[in-house]
Amino acid sequence: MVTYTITPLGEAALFVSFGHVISPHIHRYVRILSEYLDRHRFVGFKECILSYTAVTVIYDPFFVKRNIGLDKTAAEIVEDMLRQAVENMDKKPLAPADIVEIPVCYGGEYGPDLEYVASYHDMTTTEVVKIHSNTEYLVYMIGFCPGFPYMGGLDERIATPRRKSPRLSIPARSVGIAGEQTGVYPLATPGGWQIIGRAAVELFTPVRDTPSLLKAGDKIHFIPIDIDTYKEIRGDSV
Amino acid sequence: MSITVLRPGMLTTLQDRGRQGYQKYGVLVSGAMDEEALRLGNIIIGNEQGEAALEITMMGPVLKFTEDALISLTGADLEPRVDGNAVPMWRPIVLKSGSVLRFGRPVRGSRTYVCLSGGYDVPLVMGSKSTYLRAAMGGYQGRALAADDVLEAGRMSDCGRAIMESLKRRGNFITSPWYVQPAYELEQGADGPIRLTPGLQYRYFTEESCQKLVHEGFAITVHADRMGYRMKGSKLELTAPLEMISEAAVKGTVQVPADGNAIILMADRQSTAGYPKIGQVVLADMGRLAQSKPGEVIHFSMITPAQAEVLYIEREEYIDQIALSIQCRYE
Amino acid sequence: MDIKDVEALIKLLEGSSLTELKVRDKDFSVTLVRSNTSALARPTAVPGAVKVAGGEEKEITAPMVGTFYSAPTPKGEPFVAVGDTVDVDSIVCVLEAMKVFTEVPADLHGTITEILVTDGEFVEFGQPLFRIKVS
Repeated sequence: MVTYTITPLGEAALFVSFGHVISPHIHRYVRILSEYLDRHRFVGFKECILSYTAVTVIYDPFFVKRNIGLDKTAAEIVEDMLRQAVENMDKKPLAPADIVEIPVCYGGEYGPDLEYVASYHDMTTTEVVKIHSNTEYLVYMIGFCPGFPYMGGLDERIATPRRKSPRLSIPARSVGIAGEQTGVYPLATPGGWQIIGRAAVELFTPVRDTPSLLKAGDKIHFIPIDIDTYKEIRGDSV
Repeated sequence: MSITVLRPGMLTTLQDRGRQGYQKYGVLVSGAMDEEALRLGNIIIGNEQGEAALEITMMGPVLKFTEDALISLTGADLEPRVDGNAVPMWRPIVLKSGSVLRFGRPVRGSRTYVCLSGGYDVPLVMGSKSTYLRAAMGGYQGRALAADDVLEAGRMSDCGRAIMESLKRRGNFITSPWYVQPAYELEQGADGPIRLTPGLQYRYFTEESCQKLVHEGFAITVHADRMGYRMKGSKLELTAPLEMISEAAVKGTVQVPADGNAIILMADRQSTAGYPKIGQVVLADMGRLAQSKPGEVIHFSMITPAQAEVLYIEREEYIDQIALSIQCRYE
Repeated sequence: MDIKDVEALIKLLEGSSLTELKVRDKDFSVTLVRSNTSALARPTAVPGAVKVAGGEEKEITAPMVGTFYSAPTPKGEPFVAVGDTVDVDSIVCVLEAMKVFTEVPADLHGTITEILVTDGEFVEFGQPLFRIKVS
């Protein structure tokens, strides 16, 4: 049995929460509900926002009411639909997670903080790279900026606090560590993460169907590559 | 027909109703800050409600029209003028070829929409013409307008052409004897409180803070932009520290970081937010809020989500009626 | 068409502000004209500049059905007040129908002597709105 709560987030969204703990188990429910709603779009449905433990369902009350026209409010109508979807959750299939390999050139000019992270943990840079790239990471959600993955699973041996003074601009595709989190910046942005490498592939391209390389539920492997391979993959756009 | 940008103004961007459907990829919705003004501006010149318009902020651009054009101006009164003559707002206007549209001081409100019959001919990016400044995508080349930019017009609808013909036939040639008004001007009064529904973490705030929220005024600081409006007033406090994990943010979310000063999330908000949420601005009041300026003091009141839903539906019905009204007149 | 239909038409005419009703059926045609209304005795309002003898009192009538508002916006200043001089093109009020507000020009030159309707009042086509002393 799934435990969940449904709370209004204003008059045009419902927040379906499956708990308060970041865990792959709870995250499964987030994915199942989100995929179900994508496949069964009710009249008035706009989109879902996914977070660690919840799905926020955004809808247009005007179209919901106009289509169903009962004495209930649109919120009640949508809540009923969501309850039905969630009650049947365990019976719903979930496609196996996609495994995405991301080639990363670690260190050097692309990883200015790799040395710092290594010395912070009394390790060599080689060891840091080995631990970082040998882990399988789960993408919990995409947010903060287009294509940005909130990833779980960073090995605590290389967890490093944020920089005391954030950089004004971190190059796009930088791979970093901040506390117990690791991630990749799709766009250039200011930030305080420890930058240990740069991905050779785009995380975000503004196209209709799959603008983001990653999605909630994906499993990530970072593949270390050398600078020549990096330049080869990037071609002109280093 | 094209429009040449002689001066870009403070921040002029193309916005439609936003880029919907991609928040789970971290792509912001963006879109017009005062959606009602955008929609009504489009309806009265025969456009689809959600056609993109130029969103003009505080200090307006100087725009030159190469041919006769049917436009409308809605939202804030920024003293629009053509050749020294004041141009009326909230009604269809035919500008003669060569007209130069300028703006003066913000008399009332902060954002004006210049809607063009036929729309602006820019590519759709992920289904929308809205400008997402931070990601440099959408709108006019993913950025705010700059001097010497040229905007091309799209094809006018039959309704738009009928409106333009009727204005020319009147001999008046400039404007119509009829106009529309946004619902937020007609109901309750533009000075009424901004209505909120309780936020997801409302019950974790102190009783005192919840009282202050609806009894005291909060000023809009200078840090108020398309991403969010930072407010200043009595500190809003939690009863106890809360372990927050990132959650969804929607338009109008009122979140409170550790310093106790609320931030109201607007069109260019990120889709996830990690601060406790004390309230949600009622969507029917977002247009009014979007027209408020730094320095203004806002009062809030609290209503239930069910009441907010009624207001939302009433607003949609109002806009629908105007659309029907124009349709009947010109088709 | 039978007598019942004609009765219904008479009721329709009486209950409206119309002065004349013409109905044509396949082999039947009826014209009903209201008698004893001041509308018949008075020439219908003609828009446009008309030269009239000075000092005559005329009425500005509604060019359409709608809700009468004396100001352009709920918090705006009224277009005119008693005593104001107006021109043919001066806007004297707006009428709202189906959420669209239409400006009503005076169509006469003169001084407003009386405002005959109140804000928010629903008015019929031809209903007198202002009394004006024509100059």
